Amino acid sequence: MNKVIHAKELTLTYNGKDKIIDNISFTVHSAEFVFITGASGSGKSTLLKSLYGELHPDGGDLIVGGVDMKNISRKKLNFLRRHIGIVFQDYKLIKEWTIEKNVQLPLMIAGYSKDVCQSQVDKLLNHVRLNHQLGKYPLELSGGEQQRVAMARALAHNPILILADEPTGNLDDYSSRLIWDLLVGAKEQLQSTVVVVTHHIPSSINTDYKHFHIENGTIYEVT
Amino acid sequence: MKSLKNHISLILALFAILFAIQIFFVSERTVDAYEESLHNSYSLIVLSKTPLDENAFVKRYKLVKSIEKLDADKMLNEFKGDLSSTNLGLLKSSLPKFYRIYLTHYPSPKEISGLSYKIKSQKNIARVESFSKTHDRIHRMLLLLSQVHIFFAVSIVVIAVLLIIKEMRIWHYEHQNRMHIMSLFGSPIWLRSAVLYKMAFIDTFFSTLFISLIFFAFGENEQLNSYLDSILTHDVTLLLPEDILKLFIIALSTSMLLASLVIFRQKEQA
Repeated sequence: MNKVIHAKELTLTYNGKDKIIDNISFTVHSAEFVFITGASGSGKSTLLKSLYGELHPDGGDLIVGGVDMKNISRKKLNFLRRHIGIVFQDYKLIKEWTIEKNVQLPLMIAGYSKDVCQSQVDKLLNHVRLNHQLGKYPLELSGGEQQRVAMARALAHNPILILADEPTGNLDDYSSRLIWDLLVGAKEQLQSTVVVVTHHIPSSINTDYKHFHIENGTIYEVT
Repeated sequence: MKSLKNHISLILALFAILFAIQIFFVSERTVDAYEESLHNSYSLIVLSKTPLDENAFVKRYKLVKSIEKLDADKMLNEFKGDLSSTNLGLLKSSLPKFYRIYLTHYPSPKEISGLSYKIKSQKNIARVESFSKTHDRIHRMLLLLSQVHIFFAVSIVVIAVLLIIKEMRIWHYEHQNRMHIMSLFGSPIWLRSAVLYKMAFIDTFFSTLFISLIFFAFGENEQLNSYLDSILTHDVTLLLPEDILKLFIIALSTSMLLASLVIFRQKEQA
């Protein structure tokens, strides 16, 4: 199996001084479903940020999708991000855009035609049960609905890697179930690699998964 | 509604800048028209003992545009009843030759005194009347008008810069979230910026349109025109077709500069 993420002696700091992640090594292969757990402030979100290039490694090596993240150029980072789907705890939807346009974003960036964008958006909004809300703006939706839109956006371009930061943190049961089903579906049907940062793993999760735990800046695999 | 709100702040800022600039154009035309009318009505009177070679005279002095001989018969006709024809003939023969001199532009007092001195130094010239006192007063007024005009231009530049800085902060705040999210999904800078440039173009178009319509309406308003005529004393057009083009270019440059500054700031933070 291909290595989608490979970290070797990775160190991440806050402002170049305080170490948040200290000398960790781990590997994630393609089509794996991975949970990263840890207490608040343990550095799990920081680790996730380094996976999509929002933070750069201060030490060690980090390879994502075959790309070295250490001295990555802006052009390469943009290229890599076009193959990653990200789900944020605070949704990060563009509030001036309709939910239809928000879901279209990764497809638009990838340069797909209008027809392809439209059919993909229709399909995904149908999956997240929001096909009747196409023209609405994010702030007109509930938190659960906004996260479902963010989920649809993350899946729109069939990414090789999906990164999710506390995707069901503040959601109702219905939305949470829908999000987990979609993430599992992405792994099972699209063969995407899924990395989820969360406080706790839902008991209802219905797939094989790998579990890493972060504590005191180090990571270990829970078996 | 939301989209309109996004546009309105830049349209208003551009509108304020363009309004000030159009006022500047109108005041510039007013000063020019005033100077032109002063120039047209101003001339020197030269009294010569002998007839002047008009072509040589014009060629000799750079400031002189043309020279016109004044007919002495008109003045002498007024004395026809009081003097005999012999005396009139004697008077006519002893009178100097009168010339009116038109200049290439409205001169400064220094230019006038220089020219008067040069003309007077010719042996055959008896007198040069430059009406310097009146000229000085009018020239000072023209200078004041020009200085007010320059002060106004500087004020416009300062206001424009302040408005652009303020607008840049608003735009940066409004667009940084969208641009950041787009960048998280791998959007190249041109795609993130396209929205800003598109907005800049649309807002430029509408602010130019609004300002043109307003000045066109002012120009068509009879009451306003009669009021302006009474204070300006010259016929000054409030809006010329080339003004619209100039305003559009200024607004487009301003908004494009603004968009580029916001993008540059965003790029620095990315």
